[in-house]
Amino acid sequence: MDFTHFLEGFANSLTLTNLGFGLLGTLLGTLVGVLPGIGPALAISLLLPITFSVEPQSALIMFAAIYYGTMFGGSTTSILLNTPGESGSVMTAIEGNKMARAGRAGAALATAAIGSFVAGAIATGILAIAAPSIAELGLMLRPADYFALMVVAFGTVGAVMGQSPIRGLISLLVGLSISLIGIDLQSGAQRLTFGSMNAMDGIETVVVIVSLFALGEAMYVAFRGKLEHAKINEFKGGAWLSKDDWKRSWKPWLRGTAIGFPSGVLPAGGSELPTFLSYSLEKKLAKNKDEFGKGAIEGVAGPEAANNANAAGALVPLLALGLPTSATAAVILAAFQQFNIQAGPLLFVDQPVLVWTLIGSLFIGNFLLLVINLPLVRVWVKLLQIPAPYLYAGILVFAMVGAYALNNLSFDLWAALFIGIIGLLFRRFGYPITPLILGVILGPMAEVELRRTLQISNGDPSALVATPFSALAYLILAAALAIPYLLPPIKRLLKSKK
Amino acid sequence: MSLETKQSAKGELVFTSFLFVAGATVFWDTMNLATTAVDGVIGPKVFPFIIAISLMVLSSLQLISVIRGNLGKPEDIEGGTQVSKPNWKGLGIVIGALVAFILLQEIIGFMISATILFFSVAWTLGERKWLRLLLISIAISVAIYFGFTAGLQLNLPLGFEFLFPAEVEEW
Repeated sequence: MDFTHFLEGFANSLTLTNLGFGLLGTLLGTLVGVLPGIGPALAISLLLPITFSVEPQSALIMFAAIYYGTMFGGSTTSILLNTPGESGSVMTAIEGNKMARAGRAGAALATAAIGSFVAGAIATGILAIAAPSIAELGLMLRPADYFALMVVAFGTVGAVMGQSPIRGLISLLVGLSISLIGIDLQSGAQRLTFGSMNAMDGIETVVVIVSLFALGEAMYVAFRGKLEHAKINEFKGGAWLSKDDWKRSWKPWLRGTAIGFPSGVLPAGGSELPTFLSYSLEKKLAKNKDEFGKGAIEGVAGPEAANNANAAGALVPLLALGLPTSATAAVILAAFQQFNIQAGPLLFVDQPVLVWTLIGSLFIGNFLLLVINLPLVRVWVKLLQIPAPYLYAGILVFAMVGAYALNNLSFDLWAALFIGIIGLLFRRFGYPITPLILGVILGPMAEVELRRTLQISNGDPSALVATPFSALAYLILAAALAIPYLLPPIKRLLKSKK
Repeated sequence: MSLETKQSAKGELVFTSFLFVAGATVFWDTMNLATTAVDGVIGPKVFPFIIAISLMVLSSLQLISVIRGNLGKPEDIEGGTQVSKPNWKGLGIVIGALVAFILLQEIIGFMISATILFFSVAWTLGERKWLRLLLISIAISVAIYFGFTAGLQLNLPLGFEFLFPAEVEEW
């Protein structure tokens, strides 16, 4: 780890401006986490227009703080409302809501917040140590290796997310197709423009993200949803842990961190999987298994630590390799692109101040989150009483502003409407959204690396698997894709032998 | 199979076919791409070809799977419950409000068209206290307009430019 740069970044993150944007980000992030229907990816993409008038450093600090903040805020909704505020908090709702009904809301909220803080601090520490070394490795990677990494990300995210692997992969391919629209920068060829002048510049990433999440969701709720008035669980006293609660919480926190961080680094598609794994593990390890399902504190502590560690883990490949592994990381990468900053191995060399300030801000943001979450929990509860119709209407208006303000073109709004309808159909027929977004953002990068590789090899496709790294990457992908198909027959075989 | 599942199966078949058509469109577009001498070894066709063919193959497989009765499960609704009966009227109003916003905002300005959009969407999603809703719609639209134009220096249309034809350019 580069200690001088780390200290410099830490000092830099304590300037008034950076602290201010960090605080704003933690507040916005908690807000977004608390409110249902709006997740971190949508929140950051709605805020992307500010990249026009805010310094890169400040904007990125704010976006990263939002990412951490949603993981804190989501637990509040899960515990007090039993409707998770975002997908990483689904598992928290199971035990958390039971605890709240049994009058232990304060303990549930406290173990969630402190667990998130502990996980965030440890995971950010590992991030600070691991990311620069991975970036150094990244400098040695050849185009074929990069292409292999992206194919692995495509394959795993496509296959892991959604109801069936084929749906995820189709979603990815739709995203890749959208990324083709416009003039090919290398040859000048116009792809999928159908003669439209506006389409030549391609479809803005922001437009795609905003329309898929905001427009698609609002249309889907109007089409198939019935919004209800939230019934909030009562909670008295403060949010704090008894001695016994501490004793029962600290191990799940550490185990949750250990599950959450690596699953964030790997392209496993966000926080659903690690929180689920952490919950299952705690259930298995619990001394008093009967308590699970009736409000076991371990079932809140583990998943809440896991989703925060997961968010920090996702920042490792994003900063070190320029590869996003979740929808939110993909949107943060889009923000880097808005600033013309190349995330990836060179980031630590070209922009040491920026990246170390960002990492320093993560530590501070994580601490601020603990401070604003525990004492202010009643304020956040008040926000749960905003009627949902207002929320969706507001999100929709903001989305239209975000799509229009980029270029002041009505074309972008029509594109948003069209892609929004795709988002509606994806939700209706059970297709996941994240692979599509990864496809849109990584598509152009993957094509560049593919062409570089084949250019060097003079068109020989075997160059794609010629390096040891790329060959290994494809092997891992093949194994990851085959496991779900191989496991049932193996299990059957073992059973029949018994 | 009940009537409802039959209908949703039909819907999913149409949607999956649409995905195949999307793949075919990419294929067709790539076939008709004008190539130039500067393309080098690997032109602009290779990558789209891979995408188009994969999309066509996978959507065909998915089509077969849907015909066999493997239907997609609709996503859950955050902050509410899912209803199985499709609400075409609600969807129509939301899409209509968006279309109206796109068509109108450069003519009558952002503030009025955003008010209409906010009001109609919140109304459709179940808010019935119309006076309170109207006041909040106006307040939010005005606040967003000034927040973005004065605060963030971004352009949003004020509208009614037809009242002052070309006056600005003369100056």
